[in-house]
Amino acid sequence: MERWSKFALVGIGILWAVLALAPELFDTATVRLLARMMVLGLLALSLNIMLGNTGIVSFGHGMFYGSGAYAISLFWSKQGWPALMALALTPFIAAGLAAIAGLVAFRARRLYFGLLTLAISQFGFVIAMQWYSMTQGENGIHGVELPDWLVPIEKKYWFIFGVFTVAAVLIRIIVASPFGTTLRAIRENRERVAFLGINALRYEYSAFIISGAFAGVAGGLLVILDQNSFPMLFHWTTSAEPLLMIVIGGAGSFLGPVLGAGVVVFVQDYLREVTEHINLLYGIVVLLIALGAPGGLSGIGSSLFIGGPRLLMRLVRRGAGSDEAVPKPNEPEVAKADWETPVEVTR
Amino acid sequence: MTADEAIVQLIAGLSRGGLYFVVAAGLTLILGAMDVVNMAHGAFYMIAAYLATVVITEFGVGAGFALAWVVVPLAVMGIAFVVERLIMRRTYGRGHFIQILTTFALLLITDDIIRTIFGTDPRTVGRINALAGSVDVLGLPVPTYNFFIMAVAAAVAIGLFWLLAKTGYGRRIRASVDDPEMLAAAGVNLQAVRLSVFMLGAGLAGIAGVVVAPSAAVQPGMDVEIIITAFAVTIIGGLGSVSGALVGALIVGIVESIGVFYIQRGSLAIIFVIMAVVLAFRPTGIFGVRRAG
Repeated sequence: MERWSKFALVGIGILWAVLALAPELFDTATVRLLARMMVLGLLALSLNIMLGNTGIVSFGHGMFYGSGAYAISLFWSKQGWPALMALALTPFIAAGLAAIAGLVAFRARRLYFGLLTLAISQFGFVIAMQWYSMTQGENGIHGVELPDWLVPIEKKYWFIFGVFTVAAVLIRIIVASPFGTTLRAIRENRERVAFLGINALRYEYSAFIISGAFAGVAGGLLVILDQNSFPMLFHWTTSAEPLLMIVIGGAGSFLGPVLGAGVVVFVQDYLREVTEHINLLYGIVVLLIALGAPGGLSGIGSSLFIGGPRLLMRLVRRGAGSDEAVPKPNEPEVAKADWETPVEVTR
Repeated sequence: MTADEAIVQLIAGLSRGGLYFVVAAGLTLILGAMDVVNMAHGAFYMIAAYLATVVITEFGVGAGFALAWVVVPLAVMGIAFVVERLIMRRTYGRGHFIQILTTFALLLITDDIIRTIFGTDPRTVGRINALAGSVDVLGLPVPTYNFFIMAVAAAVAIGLFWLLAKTGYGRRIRASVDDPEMLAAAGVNLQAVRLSVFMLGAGLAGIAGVVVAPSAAVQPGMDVEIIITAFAVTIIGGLGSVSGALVGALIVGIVESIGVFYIQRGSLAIIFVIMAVVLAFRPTGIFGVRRAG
């Protein structure tokens, strides 16, 4: 994972402080929008443990997201459990589901793996649709009760912000650990890692479970925000959305997925009032990023901030007659940086 | 469900499977011969269906239907030519995920354009008289058009098998499924083979679009619906295998037709259950071959 410079850390700190004060600074609609960005940002972050770090595409994270949401709604509607008690259980429920789904999905690789995860998630969609007595079918479960202190939007926001912060820090610790380094080593060269005596499949499976657990928490937070859950959460289009957010924000940067989620949520909310052609815009942006800027927005940003000065340096050096090769700005410098330092191996 | 009803559902399933086969055959050829995951295949299918409704409305049910058979697949192949030259070429060898993103973006863009031109209301067109009625099977009426779809699917299957097995072009396609580098080393213009396979696949989507236009409501969303099913068919049958696509399509069509009897709105899940079961036992599909890498 990229190391943050002091400059970047200060920037993140300031942003964090602004977000912490958001209910004091912005109106209710904006605060609600920010909360939604964090819910989806957490979903995208969790999925990027798979996509960005392990290099595996899961099309089924809607399954964990939805299960987190339904866990709260169902425990509330069937057992009368308080929402927060159920929220504490969401990571374990989602992780358990991921452990079971992984047993099936990891029999296959690559495209087959992706489609198997999609299939399993779609299966969840049908259960949520069909099992009317349990899930109230297409209508979903509405009006989940929250404790009184959590009802005002600013309290809700702070709660979601707090959980998001803790979860993001945990994910950061996980991907920066030797475990995370091994995941990226697997992404770069699975066979070489296997030759080191590492059971790559076990690492991928663990990453899937961890990723699923955090996606479950994101689903739980969604219920805290909206107080309802509905079958579409399991649908494959829900699974595709965080993938697009990661791609737009940049899979190679830790906060890229959050950036992507923020941009997508904002643009969708803002543009819906201005134009009907959201899909056209979405399509063009994804097309341009897929073809021209695989690093996403954060990749473009870093090539402006890092690549710009580098380009200047190169021009200066050219002028001085030196022909030294300077790294290209838009290379996935994150992945490269991991290989330049020797891979740390756990156990 | 009585035995009679089961037979009627079986016929409906075969015609449904026939349609799936025509779509999935194009998808599996592109996947096998080019190693390209083409979500835009659904867009080609939808464009073709809309074009067919336009042609049929414009020229009348009789002449329009005949004309659509010629014009629409050619038009879709023309669009495929432009898309391959401008966009798809840049995604070759860059992995499935980039291709999924690129073609998904194309799907979104097409969807928006179609909505802008035609609106969101479903469009329907009539059938020519010879295909409009129904045939009695065991005293229960089965639409004649179902048999027509089956006939088209059978013709496409025979045509494709002939093309792949008996012609030099087919040999080149099969060779590029097995080993594109070797094919290129043997002096075959790989770019040209890829372009033609992409257009051939789009042409098949075009045929499927013309076939479906008089039998179902043509509306936004049909692109995504068909592409998900077609992927499942392709995966069940095995990537790159036309026989696999045929078997997979018939399995999915029949199980779906009988399954909707028991689970409403659950057809997609049934497909995926089949897929999961097949992959659990054969991780590369029924006719799939495990490839290195």
